Amino acid sequence: MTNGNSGLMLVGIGSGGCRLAAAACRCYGDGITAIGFDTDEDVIRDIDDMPCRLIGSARLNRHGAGGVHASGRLAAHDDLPGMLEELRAARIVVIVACLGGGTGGGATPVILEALKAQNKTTLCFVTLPFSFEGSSRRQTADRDRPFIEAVADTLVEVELDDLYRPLESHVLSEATQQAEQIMADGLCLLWRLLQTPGFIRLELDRVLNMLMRAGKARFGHVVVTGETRAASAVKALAGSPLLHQSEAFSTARALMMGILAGPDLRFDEIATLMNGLKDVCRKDVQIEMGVVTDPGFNGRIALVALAFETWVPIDQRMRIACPDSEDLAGSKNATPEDKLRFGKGLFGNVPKTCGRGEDLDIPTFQRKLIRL
Amino acid sequence: MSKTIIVALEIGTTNTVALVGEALDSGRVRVTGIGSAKTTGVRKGLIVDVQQAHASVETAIRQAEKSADIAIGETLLAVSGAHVIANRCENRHPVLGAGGKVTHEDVDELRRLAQQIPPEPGRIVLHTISQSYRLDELDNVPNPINIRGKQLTLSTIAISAKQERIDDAVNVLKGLAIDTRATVFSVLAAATAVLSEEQRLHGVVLIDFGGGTTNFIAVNRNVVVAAGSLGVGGDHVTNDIAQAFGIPLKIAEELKMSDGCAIIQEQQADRLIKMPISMVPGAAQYISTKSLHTVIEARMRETLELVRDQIGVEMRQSGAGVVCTGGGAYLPRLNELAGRVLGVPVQTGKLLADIEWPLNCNIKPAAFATTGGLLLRSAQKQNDFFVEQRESILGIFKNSFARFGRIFGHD
Repeated sequence: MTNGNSGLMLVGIGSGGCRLAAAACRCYGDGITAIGFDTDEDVIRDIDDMPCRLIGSARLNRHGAGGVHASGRLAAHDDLPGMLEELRAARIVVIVACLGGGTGGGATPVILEALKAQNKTTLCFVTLPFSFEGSSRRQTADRDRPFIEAVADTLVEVELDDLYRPLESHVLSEATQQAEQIMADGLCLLWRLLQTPGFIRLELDRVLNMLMRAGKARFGHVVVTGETRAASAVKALAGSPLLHQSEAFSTARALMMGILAGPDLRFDEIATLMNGLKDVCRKDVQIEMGVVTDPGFNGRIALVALAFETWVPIDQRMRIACPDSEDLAGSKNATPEDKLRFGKGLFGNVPKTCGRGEDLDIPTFQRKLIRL
Repeated sequence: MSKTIIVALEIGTTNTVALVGEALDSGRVRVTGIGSAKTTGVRKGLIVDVQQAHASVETAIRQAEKSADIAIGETLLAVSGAHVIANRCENRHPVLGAGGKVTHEDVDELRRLAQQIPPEPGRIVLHTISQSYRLDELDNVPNPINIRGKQLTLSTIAISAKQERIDDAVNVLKGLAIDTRATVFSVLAAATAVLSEEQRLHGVVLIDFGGGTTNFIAVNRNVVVAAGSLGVGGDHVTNDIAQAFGIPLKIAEELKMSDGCAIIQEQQADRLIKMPISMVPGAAQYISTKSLHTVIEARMRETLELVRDQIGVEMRQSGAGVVCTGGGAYLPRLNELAGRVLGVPVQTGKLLADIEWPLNCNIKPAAFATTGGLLLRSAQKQNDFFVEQRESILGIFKNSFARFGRIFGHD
């Protein structure tokens, strides 16, 4: 099920998540390895582009979770061993789920937590319901988010309102198709950067280091054409509703950037893009980027970006996020400075409290790198 | 006429508090005994050393017994900790009444279904709180009886806790020959003690800043709409200070109490605080006020942001703002910081006049909100303020009573 070369796997959870993962498979082609998990047999029957597994059938009679968080959660618990077996060979699992319903919100934290226990790195995309869907769905989604945030290495939240805002004038079918394409490009970003031959290709370990405990991120996407396409691409990306009109961009601690273009891409265009980024981002932003050339993009440039809200240097992150960080602070080799900086003190012998992907028992000023 | 005596206990991370109260006819409660002891053996609301916790509880209980002149054999127990979580559930039931009208039987069946949703293995449901009904496309139906429709939906919040953690506390009490009559999520109890009718109607968020945990509840139109607990509390602030300046926890705690502030005070930024001479070798002899406040603000800001994230959209609907209780509520300028982070007015909780305290009793009200609320909750069992979920609240009490018998009585 998993592509052994990349160690990457795409997983759709719940009906919405399965549909989005299937759309990504359609867009990217055979190179992507994906699987879906849902409680509704009818939805699974309609998906042809990737394998899907029914979960919780003994409990829910194959009829879905009916919007009930508890049903989705229990369904995932029922079939967890089988699901983990399907994901056994993956090193990075990209998960996509739509919050506001039962299976996506209920099952996703269960699966993420199990993957975390197996030391797999997770990048989780969740969509948040349209505001016109009513407060009940939104409240359900808001309840589920913290559970996912606590266990996902990186959580990317996509507001459907933001995703569809530039497409408001399109007819429904066209808007849906384009929105699916945008989400597919986001979901496939890692595959493109890691697998597709291009001018600059990323290594898996660099991606792992970036995703591990990166916390929350925003996702942005833009496609531009024309003579000045490189200059206008950064401007368009910074103004993207998905990135909250540059707020997420200008405050991002790190960026993972994919430049997708046809063979007509020029050197000076890459330089223009990267210089443009410096103008709109923090001066100390960490950027990992890859350039992928594909004849399918001839005449246009697509930028796909993940803007991370938090990021700490690898050496410090390893010490802070690692479950054994207390051992480091308490080891014979630890300097007095280490003991002061990384010790958990009072909380060394109790279950740790996690939030936003961080160990909250470690002093906040240390994790946030606040100077005293 | 026999008096109904109620006992409430909270094994907090910092303090263990026992209150003895007397239920009055008016639904009020008169506190007749107070016991309080410094807690040891508890971290983040969890018992980590049974012997130490036993000693703390025993001290508090004996003090309360002495001041109320009674022997305590049974108590209500407040529970908190990050293991307490709230999940929102929806339960559906087809309308079976004649002519498609919703009947009492339909509603009862739906409520029965709601109570039956199983918790995760190893957890127990403390409270199942009904929120609202939906009848087909009609949302927020207060009373669906006799309205026509096809499918009735009931939204509930199930508050559950880890069975083992509850058992730990219950076993400590058993060791003192005290039965646990009921277990109540601490912030639900605190809400009863400090939130006024008007606040509950207009929408309010209560945040209880404890020593080991921060518990919260959001109430709107008299209905609980969100609740939860974070395993982060005042001890984390103390620990952060100890880590930052390389000082023992005891001194860090004293420093927090004497010079702590939730916001960096620019006018005092240059002031230096002299440390006691018993500090560990190599650590600083003076620390700046600005550094101390920076450490505290970072932690408190993060805690408030975590609460804000968990409460979600309900925060914006809290017309009556936020009320802070617990020992941490007395941290200077906490309300100001909370107002900035949460974007709503913030005030420190005051105990309702429904609780009568002994004369010459000098207490910090917010620190007694949970135990005071436990007493009041029990005394007011027939007119609980959560109107919408009265049935389920009563169900909890009914279940509790069935298990533990009638309220501890004393003639």
